[in-house]
Amino acid sequence: MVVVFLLLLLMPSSRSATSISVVDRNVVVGEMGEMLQLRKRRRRRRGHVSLLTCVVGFLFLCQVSRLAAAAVLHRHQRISGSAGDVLEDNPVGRLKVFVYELPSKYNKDWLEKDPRCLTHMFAAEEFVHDFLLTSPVRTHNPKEADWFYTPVYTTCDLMPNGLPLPFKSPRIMRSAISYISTHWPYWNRTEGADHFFVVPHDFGACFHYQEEKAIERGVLPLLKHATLVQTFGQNHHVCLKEGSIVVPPYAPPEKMQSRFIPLSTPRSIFVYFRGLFYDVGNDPEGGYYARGARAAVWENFKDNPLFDISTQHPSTYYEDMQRAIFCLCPLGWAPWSPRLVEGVIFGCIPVIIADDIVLPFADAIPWEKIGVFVAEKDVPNLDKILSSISPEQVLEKQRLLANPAMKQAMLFSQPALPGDAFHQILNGLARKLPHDPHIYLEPGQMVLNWTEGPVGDLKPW
Amino acid sequence: MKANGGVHRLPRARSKIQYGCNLEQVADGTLRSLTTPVSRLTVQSMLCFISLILGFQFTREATIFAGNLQHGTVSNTLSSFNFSANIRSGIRSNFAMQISQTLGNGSDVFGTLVRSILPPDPVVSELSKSKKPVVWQHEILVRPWPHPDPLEVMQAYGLISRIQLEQRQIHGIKDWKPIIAITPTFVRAFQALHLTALMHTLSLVPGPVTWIVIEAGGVTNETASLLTQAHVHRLLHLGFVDSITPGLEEQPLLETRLRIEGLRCVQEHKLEGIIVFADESNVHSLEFFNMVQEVNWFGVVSVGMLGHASFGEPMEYDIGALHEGKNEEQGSHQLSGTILRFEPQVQGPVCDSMGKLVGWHTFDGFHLEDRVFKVPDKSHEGRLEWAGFVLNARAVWEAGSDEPVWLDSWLNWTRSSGDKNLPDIRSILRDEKRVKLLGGCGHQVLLWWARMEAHANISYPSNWALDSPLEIVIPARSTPWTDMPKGRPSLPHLPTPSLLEAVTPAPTPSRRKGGNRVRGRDSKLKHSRHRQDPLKGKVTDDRRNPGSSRRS
Repeated sequence: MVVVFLLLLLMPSSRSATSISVVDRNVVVGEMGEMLQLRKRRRRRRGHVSLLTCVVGFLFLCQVSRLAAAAVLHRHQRISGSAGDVLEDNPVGRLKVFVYELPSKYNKDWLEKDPRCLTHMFAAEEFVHDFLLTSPVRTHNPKEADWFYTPVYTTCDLMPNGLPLPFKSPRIMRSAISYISTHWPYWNRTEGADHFFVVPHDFGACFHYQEEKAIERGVLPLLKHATLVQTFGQNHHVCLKEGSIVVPPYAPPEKMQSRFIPLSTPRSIFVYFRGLFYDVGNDPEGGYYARGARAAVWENFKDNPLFDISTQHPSTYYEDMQRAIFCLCPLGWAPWSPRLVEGVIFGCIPVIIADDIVLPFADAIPWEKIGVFVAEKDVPNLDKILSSISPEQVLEKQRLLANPAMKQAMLFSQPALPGDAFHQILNGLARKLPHDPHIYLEPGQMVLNWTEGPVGDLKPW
Repeated sequence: MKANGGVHRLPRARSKIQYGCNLEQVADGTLRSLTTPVSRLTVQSMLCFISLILGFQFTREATIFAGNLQHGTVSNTLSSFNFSANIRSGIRSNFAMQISQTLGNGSDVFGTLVRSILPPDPVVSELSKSKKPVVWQHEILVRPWPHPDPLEVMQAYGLISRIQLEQRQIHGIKDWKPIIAITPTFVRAFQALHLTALMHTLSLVPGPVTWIVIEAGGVTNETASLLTQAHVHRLLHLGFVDSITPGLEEQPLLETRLRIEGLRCVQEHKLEGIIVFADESNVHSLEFFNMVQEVNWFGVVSVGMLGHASFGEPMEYDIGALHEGKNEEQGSHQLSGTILRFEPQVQGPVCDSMGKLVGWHTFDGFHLEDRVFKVPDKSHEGRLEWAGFVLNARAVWEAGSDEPVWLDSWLNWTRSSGDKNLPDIRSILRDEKRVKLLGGCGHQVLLWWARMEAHANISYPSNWALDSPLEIVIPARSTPWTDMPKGRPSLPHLPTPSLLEAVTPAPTPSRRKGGNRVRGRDSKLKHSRHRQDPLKGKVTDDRRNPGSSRRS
């Protein structure tokens, strides 16, 4: 299209110049006076006419090509994010990452103790480590590195039921940071401003599962300048630091990709949701869990035939999602949930009920065009909202979801494929380059206070 | 929380005074009962201490709010207003807990007071610093009528159908070839059953269907009236000269004749599409019609043959022979005896590992006549059901190809009614290797043959419309209660019902011409009233006696 436009632009000039190049035309005009003036007038008129035809032709060709493209690509649509088509950017060559070699007590020992760390929804930290070890962006020369990665698994201390205990995590992190600051000079050089950490727990680097306590603690003081890669994202929240990269929670790609049903299966479920509405164990009164939003969904729509919602977890969960048009993704104790990933993979439009949430890769993926956002106070009118969306909009959203780049971006695929979540993280890191020269501190200049934080954190690990 | 009612709805300042009043009243109440001045003093000091603590909390919150108003922006103040309001509600709940606890267990007053000093300082100071959310108990919003609105439901279903249409357009089968279904039929007891089912199946096929129904014994009104409800693209109801002979052995013979007649019709009208031999007693899955779209010239499918298990003889297998290969390690264990296995109830093509056709698996059918198992003749051995074969309509009439040679020979066979040997459907496949194996070489069974027939002499109402009343086998129960005359809401003088009176036979219906139409409750009631009067108005009422044994 651009080429055509350029050609059309050049056409009038070529016509009126009569085989004289642009440079020579100016010379000729200077030499031969009135004859060229006449010719100029004629040229101008011709130029006007040709310009008009050029514009008309350009518009016509635009329309034609757009229609043709739409006809060809009617199955899925290119996702143009706010920064352009950034989902398909290749980070290789744009940044270099140096991976610190930490003693195995920070990473491998945890895995050996409990291999469940590789399958739960916080497994991103392990997989990012594996990916970076074999990635072409890795460099063994720290002097040329743009970013430094510390492989410390803070979410691998699992309880018997599989949920991670965050109580030791601050100490583990502090211990890891003190290790790298004593063994390499790069931490002290910038006090961590060119380092990044993967903290996928409930509230990120606040290292607690209860929101009150997490807010109380705040982000670990030593990580004040570092970039955090986390699953938690909520605007105006202590635990979302400025400049963090929000990633989706880990969902096993093979498990999901083995359960696809034929695309011709008609989508007959209007709204689908499986999960808790009331957390009776932790919130017996109700009103705390999910800020009452999940309970509101249940109370308002439990007898609505359009809403297939229940707490029973069926064995056909993935298949049912592929037969549903809308999948609810309400907040729980934390605003993010793996349902977003599952909805995107299975082509079910996510209905996000979480105020102020920051969705994964929000600078690359235009979530407003893909999902439906419902404020928590509008939950009682959810059926009205969803049934009043026009079919064209729904089809548009489905087309965007069908884009394989979109699905790829949500997955931590093994082995890593171009455009998957690992590459989106690297893209995010690459977009933050080049570093602001102010981050490089003078030797001896200290910004971080190593004794800041609750007393329990200061104990060595 | 809600039990302490109106106190919590009032604004803060007034509620404080209210609290004070309440406490005073309570104190007065307790004071009146107390006699010793010492106990009075202790209660008074306790209550004074409580009000001191509560007042301190309130004033602290008020000063924070005022501080926010001074320093913060508008949004800041609004958000902090929200937060302070919510803290108020939180503190309200705290108060409620306190009050209930203090009034409840007087001994633990001090403990509750200590606990009520919370929330701790850091959170409140965090609040004052910036607009960060704090965890509090939210209201579960339920709208006044939390039930579906029918208009919205209709809109949603419209959305669903639009999306499914789009799905079909993108992912469904493109260029749907019309289906030509050839069905032989004749008037009999089971015809309505089978034909109705087939009719519904063909109506659901998402594409144009031409249904050719060939009836033995000519076109009859009965069959025509059944076919009026068919929603197919085109319906051809043909009649064949020969009628069915009683005796179900000849039924397959006649059906083949009718099918060939249907093929002749296709040739005559030069119909386009895919010919499917849809016997009326067969059950088709809708996926079957999707599957046959892949046919170019000829296709074969697997047919599930049901109704033979338990009729057929199971095969006996020697266990030792079966486990030969497996028992090499366990030399000493020798399994002996026989196990019974039934053959798989499927008739269809068999392929080798390359996917090429090597043979057919067929099931020798038994059929039921007069509840006597009849072993079929050897001539029927190897007979394949026509339903498992699908062909392109052009193969029947296209000029230029010499395929219809077989059709002519078949037509000759139909005209000669003496020959008992059925033409083999496989004769249309000149080269059996060229045939398209549908459903993964017959691995998917989407079509079932389950022949269920009645004796030829069975009687059923003509057109399934009753013109005379049926014989009563179970008499109806009479209504045990009388209609109350209007204006008298209750009859308190009704005696208690007795169980024996309940079993009254219904009045025998009068044999009138024109059918026994139900005359409403009046006729029965007249009878019952007359009946009950001589019994001195004893009425049995089932409803009033739900536990009566008759109802079990």
